[in-house]
Amino acid sequence: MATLTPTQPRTSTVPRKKRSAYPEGHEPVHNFLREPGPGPEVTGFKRFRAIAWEWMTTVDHKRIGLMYLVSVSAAFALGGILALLVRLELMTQGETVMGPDAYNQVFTLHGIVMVFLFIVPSIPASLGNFLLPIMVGAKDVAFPKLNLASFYIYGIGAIVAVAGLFFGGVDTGWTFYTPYSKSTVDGVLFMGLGVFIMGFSSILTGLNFIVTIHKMRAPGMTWNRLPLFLWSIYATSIVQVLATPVIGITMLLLFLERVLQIGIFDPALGGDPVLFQHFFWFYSHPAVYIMILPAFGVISELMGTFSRQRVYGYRAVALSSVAIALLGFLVWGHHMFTSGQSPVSSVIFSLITFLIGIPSGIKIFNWIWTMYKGSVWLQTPMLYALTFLFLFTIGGVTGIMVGALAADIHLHDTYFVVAHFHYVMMGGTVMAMLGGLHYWWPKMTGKLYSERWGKISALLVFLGFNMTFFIQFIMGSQGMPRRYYDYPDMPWLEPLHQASTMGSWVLGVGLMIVLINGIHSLFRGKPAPGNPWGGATLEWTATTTPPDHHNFKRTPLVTHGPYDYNAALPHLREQVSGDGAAAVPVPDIAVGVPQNEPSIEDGTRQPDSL
Amino acid sequence: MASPAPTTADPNAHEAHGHDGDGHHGDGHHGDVMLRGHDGQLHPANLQHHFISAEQQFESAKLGMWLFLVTEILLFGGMFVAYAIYRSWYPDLFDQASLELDTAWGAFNTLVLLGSSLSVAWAIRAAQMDNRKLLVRLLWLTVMLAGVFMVVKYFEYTHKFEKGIFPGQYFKLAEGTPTIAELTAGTAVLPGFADATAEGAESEAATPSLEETEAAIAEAAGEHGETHAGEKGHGEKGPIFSNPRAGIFFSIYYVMTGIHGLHVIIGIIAISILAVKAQRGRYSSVYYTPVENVGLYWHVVDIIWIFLFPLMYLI
Repeated sequence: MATLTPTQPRTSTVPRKKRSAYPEGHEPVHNFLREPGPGPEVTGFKRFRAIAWEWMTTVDHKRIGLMYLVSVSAAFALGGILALLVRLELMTQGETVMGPDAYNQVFTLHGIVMVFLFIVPSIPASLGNFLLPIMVGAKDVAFPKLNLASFYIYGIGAIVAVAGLFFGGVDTGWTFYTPYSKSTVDGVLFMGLGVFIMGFSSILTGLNFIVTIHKMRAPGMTWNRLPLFLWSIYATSIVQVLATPVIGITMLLLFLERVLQIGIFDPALGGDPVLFQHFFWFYSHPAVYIMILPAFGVISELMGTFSRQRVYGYRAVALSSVAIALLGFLVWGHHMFTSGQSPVSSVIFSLITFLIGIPSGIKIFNWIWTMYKGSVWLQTPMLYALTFLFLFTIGGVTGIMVGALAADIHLHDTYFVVAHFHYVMMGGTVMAMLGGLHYWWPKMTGKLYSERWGKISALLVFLGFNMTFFIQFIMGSQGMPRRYYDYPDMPWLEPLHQASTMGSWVLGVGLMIVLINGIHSLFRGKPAPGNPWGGATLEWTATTTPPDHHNFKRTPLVTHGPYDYNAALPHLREQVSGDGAAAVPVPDIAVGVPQNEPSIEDGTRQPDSL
Repeated sequence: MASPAPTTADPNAHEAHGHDGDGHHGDGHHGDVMLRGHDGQLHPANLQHHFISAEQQFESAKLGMWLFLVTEILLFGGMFVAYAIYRSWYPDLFDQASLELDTAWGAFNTLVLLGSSLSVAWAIRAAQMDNRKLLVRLLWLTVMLAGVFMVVKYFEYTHKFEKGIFPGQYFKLAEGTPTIAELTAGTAVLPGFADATAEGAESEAATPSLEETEAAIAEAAGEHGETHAGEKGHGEKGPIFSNPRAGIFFSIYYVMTGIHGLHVIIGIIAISILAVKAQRGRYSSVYYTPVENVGLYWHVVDIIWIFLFPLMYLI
């Protein structure tokens, strides 16, 4: 301790406009968004270049999380525009805006972009990267360089996949089924290779998270004190590590099938195209849980914080994530009921599919129970969480319907299935991501967004989503096949298609408001207090807003569970009424008072700054 | 990202400050490589900034490596599944095909890889014992054995290419052997099979049914196989050359051994880097995580071959 020489925080000496004044003495001195940063002597373009280079080469999990957030948001915007085009084409019979070949390419690209570029990395890579080390009380993920590498691998994979557009595009649907994918345009090569490359990114992220959760937890952070978001990220990571290599080898084999004619999936050479389906779904069904499990975690956090009550059945919710992850490996055959696989295996797959309803139901009921007799505070994140609850329940129950063997033979490859998985993926994952984004936005950016516009966007998204997709259940049950360009034999579907398309516009407007609200808050938003929602997990109670470059001044010592609001925020205990007033921001957990929790002396002390 | 360290080791400072943090359990025997971090405290030289202790760092790295190896197993798992399915469907094909693989060289390669596993395990021990000379020698020995494996593999591959053994469609079947595509389309029909299709053509479409095609393929494989077995004296071509499905086996063979070979090459590169760094004294009993992890990787490369050898060459 003898030679402790506190370095001068540079940002405080950087001259900058005092547009949004923090409360006196509460400036976030160590702000990861600005630190370490070039010195004050670097100005102009050189300064811009230095900052850009620092971000591009950063190993800080928070910055990598934000870079992922920007990337997946761009992918979501691209996929969303393609979705609007698909809906626009189906609005009227015959050709509306594009021809059949273009239509095939657009829906395929929509699927590939949304699945591989957006939804698989969405919550884990952005929110997970940002929050996981803070929530366990660590300075960073276990392998920070690997973390950065996985971001660039994702970028390269995305570029390779989209490059396929310039080599004929892809018209196979996102599933790349053989034998068609063997004979169609060359874009398949690029898309397949892109998926293969992005798989490595997914694996490395999952690996990093598992090791971080196992080995980097702060003292006192027992498994039973792990926030439920981390339990779900942990389960997700297991699936990422175990399932993704299989899509890797599948895409490699498809690549070789096209380039070297190896024939493993080609009946003309003695191979079997159904084997491709088995391989593909052995990854892609567990991948469905890569997509939805992190959403469960976000919802658990939101339900606890905005009900001002511990999450009911903590262990059941935590372990049900792991149960879903493991059961998810045993149900891939339910995508193949009509592929000609043996009826016995279809029955078994159907049965195991029903079993997944149990842990999912455990979660739903526990979330409802968490709200029961809680002080539900209807802020924007909670509105999204309730939207999730509503939409995911519909998606889940229709999932049981299409999991039933007899019903699925009828509904297979219809809009019923399209509606089902959009209710789960968009109504589930995207709603949870939006909720989580609104919840952690003040922590990540240090700014508050407009609550009013947040609520308006949540309402529009809810209405637009249901307008778009609920109708598709009806169309599907009446026989509208998915991926079809036209419906000349079913003219009575036209008004339904029109309503669905108009719903997609409402949805689009809602999402645009989210984007504008977020960007507006960056420039004009009020500075966020340290704990605006009264959360009890470490990112709210033990670090500044935005967090320090090193996350914590000292390694926190965890003394209570993640939803023990009384222990984390004892001064709020008397204020708990029935109306959620307790969660109103309170001054003494404002910006700049970083350490609300006890900490330990372990030699990781940062220079004192406050 | 090693500790941002302005000063070099200072034994006196270590004496004074080595035990001030309860996170540094290992300081007592890790003491000779301490550096002063920007917080003014002493840390083990190889401790990265975000870890609390060298133990935590070592255990994290090792767990990470094990997880990576799990993904390797699953990568090969997909191919083993393909192997199992096609083997159960076409047992004769696999019997015939394994005759074309050189068991003696395969066995030799198995011994070579087992030897390299021993040398890399021994190298880890040498690192733990601070025996730098032995460590460097054993790492180079491992590289050499891996090189021998690849050379043998090269000769095996070229020998097969000379015989026309290529994967999938490019497999050179014996003269007159019909392909599956031809059999399915009914364009090339075997004697005795022609009548069946002619009859079928009147009632249904001209294409033969699944059972008929299966029978035709089996017949093609069996018939030609027998004739070749009879004249084995002068013909170097085994029965596999008359099996229309021959390409499938060799697709699996080339893909699996090819990807395995790629892993061997990556291993050669990784172990060479280790050896160079070991020569420069980067590893000791205090810090040998890379040696340990690359060693683990190498064992997995070895064990995959242990499965490939009997499945491809022996049965």
